[in-house]
Amino acid sequence: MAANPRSFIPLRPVEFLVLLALADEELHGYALTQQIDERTGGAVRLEPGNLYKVLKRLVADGLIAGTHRRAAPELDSERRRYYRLTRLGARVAALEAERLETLLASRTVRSLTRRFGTA
Amino acid sequence: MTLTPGWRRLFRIPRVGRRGIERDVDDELSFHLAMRVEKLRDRGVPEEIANAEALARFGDASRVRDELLTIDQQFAREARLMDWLDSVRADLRYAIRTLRRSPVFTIVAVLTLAIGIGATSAIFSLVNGILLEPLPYAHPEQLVSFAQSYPEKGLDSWQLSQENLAMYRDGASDFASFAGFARRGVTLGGEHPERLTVERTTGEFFQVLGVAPLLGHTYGNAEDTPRTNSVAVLTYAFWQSHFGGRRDVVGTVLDLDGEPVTVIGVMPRSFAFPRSDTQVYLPLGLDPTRRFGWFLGGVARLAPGVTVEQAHRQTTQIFRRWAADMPQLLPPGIVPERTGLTTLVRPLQSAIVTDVRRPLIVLQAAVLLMLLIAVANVATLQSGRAAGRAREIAVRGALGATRTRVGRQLLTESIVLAILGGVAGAALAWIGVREFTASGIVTLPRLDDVRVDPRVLAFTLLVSLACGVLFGLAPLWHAVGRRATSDIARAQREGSHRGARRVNNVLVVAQLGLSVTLLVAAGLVLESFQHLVRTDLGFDPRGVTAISTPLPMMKYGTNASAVPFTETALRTVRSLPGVRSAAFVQVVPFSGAVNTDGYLIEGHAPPSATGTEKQVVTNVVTPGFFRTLNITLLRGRDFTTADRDGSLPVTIVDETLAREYWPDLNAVGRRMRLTGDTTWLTIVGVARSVRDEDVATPSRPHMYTPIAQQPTTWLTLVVRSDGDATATTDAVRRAIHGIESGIPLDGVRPLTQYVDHALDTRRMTEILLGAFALMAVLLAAVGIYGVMSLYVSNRTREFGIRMAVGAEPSRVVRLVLSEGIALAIVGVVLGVGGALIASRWIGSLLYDVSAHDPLAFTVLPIALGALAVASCVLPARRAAKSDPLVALRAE
Repeated sequence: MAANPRSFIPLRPVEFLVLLALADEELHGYALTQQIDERTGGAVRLEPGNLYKVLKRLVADGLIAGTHRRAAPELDSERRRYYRLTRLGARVAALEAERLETLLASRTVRSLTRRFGTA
Repeated sequence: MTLTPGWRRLFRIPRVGRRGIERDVDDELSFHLAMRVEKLRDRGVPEEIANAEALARFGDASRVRDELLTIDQQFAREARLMDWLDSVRADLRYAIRTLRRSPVFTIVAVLTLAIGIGATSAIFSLVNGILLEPLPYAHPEQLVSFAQSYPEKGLDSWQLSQENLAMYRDGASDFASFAGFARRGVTLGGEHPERLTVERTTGEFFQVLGVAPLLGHTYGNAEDTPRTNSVAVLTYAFWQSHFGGRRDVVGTVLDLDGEPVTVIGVMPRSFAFPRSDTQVYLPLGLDPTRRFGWFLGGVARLAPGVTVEQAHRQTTQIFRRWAADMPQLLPPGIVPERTGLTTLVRPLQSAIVTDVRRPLIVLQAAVLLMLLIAVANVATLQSGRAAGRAREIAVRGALGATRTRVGRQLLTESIVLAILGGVAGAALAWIGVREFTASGIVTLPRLDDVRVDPRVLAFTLLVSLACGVLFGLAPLWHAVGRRATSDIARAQREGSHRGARRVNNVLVVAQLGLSVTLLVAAGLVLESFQHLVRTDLGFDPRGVTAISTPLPMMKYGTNASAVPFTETALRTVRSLPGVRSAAFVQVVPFSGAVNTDGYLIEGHAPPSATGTEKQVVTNVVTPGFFRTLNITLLRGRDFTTADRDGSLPVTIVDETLAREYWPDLNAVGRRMRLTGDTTWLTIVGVARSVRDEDVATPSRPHMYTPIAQQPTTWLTLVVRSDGDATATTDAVRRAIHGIESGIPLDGVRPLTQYVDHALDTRRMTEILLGAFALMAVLLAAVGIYGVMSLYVSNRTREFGIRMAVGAEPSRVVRLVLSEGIALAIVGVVLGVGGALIASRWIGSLLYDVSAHDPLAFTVLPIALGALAVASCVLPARRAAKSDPLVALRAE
């Protein structure tokens, strides 16, 4: 079942954030909320219920995969579910990034940020 | 938070099943909670507060948990389904690849199945269209056929008079509507007069059947008054053939028997009651005062909620009340309740198909037996391949495929094969059914309703799947039934030994047994049919042509005026070249019509006190009738032109009647009369008995009267000709037209056709059953040959070694043959047992043949057994040539 990455575009912001967070490393659910919290400067706070629903949907779509493993066997032996990006997920994330890039590169956006932006 | 037992984690197998999913969700959520608590604690928040805070941030934990569970379970279900579909797809791909690798096997197997499944589906189309499919009328379950019965008078099924009809229509509340109908011929006037088959019906006819006309309207109760009903409703076929389907046909005036009749409507194509050859429906013009003349068939629609039994009780009461008022009917002092007077109310559908039900079911059973043989045949072919595949299967097992998985793969292959056979079979059935219904070789009731419809296709699919599973069992047995062996070489060597041999033995016995059963049953039916065809009818229909010559009603208003016409016509026709003899007759043998009446012999006791009355078949003929049909006159003389109105009233009786009163047949000079008539008729001759209603039933007593003393306009000319019957017939038609141009001359048929027609259902049974039996025997012979070949090739090594250590080739031949003979005996014995059961079941289809006919029960099984043994000879000789070196090298 090779799904077409384009069919997932556009992603919802939360989904894109999750894919971005998993782009560099495998994370468990809690660490993921921390990551997103950090990346957005606290602007996006995922409630657990919402977080896991998003995760499960992404798993079902094949964009991420869940794995069981021990984080550091010498530290704790608890079984956790880690999530990682799949190939399909990576391609979808890249496509979404390109889309946003094009959007952000538009003159309208630039003039908007120049006139009303905070920086 | 507990640790799950190690192995699941080690293999990273996602836990499936409800319990596993729950635990996964719980683990994940509690871990999340724990991390948060830990973080808060790190910041120095006291434990209790940290816990509370974490929970509060979490929200409604149980709701979250439920939602996540639902998502996961849904996902797991989908994943399982996808997995399954994937594996089915893989199985299918693999199966198709395997089948393509052995095209000969595939083609032979598919053809074998196509024949079996095709025949089964074709016969099922008949069963479906004729027996199962409801009649094409609104609420067909409410429709009943209606007749009366007076067994004491020999009237087992007694039609209705106009008075009868009116009394049920008006007096029986159990019916929503009630109608009568009678078949008649009328002449459509014009330049070329044409004889039409019409149905004269009472007003509620169309209401009973509940069918709306395609064009215009139908008639109703208003037309039940005599002489106010010059209207006609056309059938679809007649509308097409005579008016080219023109929509402005309504209002057209037809000349029917010289009277103007206006077309008021056209019925839809599917409307074919009571018979599909009806051309026009005309109102009868019911006259409820007509007490006599019982010529109407009855059809009725039950009122909602009324059962057939209730309607029967109510109408019988009405019938008996009517009979009590009929002194002619009941002997003095007898009340109707003490007689067998009753009405016959039967569901219409079963009444229509009653004669063909048994033959059709027998054919369906026969064809299923044939299909089983075909299945056994394919199973044999499969077994043949199993030897080669044992290695492949062992390899797959060694690579980790479970037995169930391998089994499913093999079953998929069988089912693919079966479906291919089913598709080809459905095509065969479609062609066969189309040809069969269009050919007109047999007339069956409801033949128009026979087609390969969705129900037949669904049946075909079901049968194909069942076949696939059935013959799929053989390779399954080979592959999975035994313990999987890790020794691939041994698997290959032993692949088709013991277990396989048992399967093959079962296959041989089954094929032989089934074909013996089928062949014996078919043999009995074939023998019956041969007896029927060779039955001495008492007359010779060959070379005789029947030309129906209805006289125009307007011109021949009285029956007596027909007499001079017959005399002129016969004089002219007899003088034509090629005509050997000719005569007129009222009722042609096997035309389906028959007149009966009660009779008395002078000097013999009048009807007994219970009203029982002897019945005689009456017919009206001209001089020369007996000679034309080659009916021997045993005593006395034929009628002559001197037997006319005013001379001594005479009659000729048949042997059956004469024998009852005068065992020496000396009936000439005795007198008899019909119970409804006071004239005594003097017997002037005794003719041989003829079977003119049904080939299989002995003749009833007959009496003939001369047309000059019993005139009628309802006539058929029978002509016996030498040589070219067609040329003679043309000359005869021209001559008749020269005498009376108003006679339609389209009703010309050889007399043999009437007889053939009477044997239609039996002929169909015979031809089809014979064909199925023949196919079965062929399939079985091929199958047995296949199994024995297999048996020999599987034991090549053993035979080779035997001969290497000194066994004579003849000994090996004997070994193989004795094995074959043993199987043949078992098969034949079982088959004869099956045939004994089957013969009891088909008893009603047999004629003049015992259900335990020694010929069928000895010759056929022995012949088949011999055939089975013969199919072992070639393999046996091959066995004798086994070369031990070749055999051993094959390892």
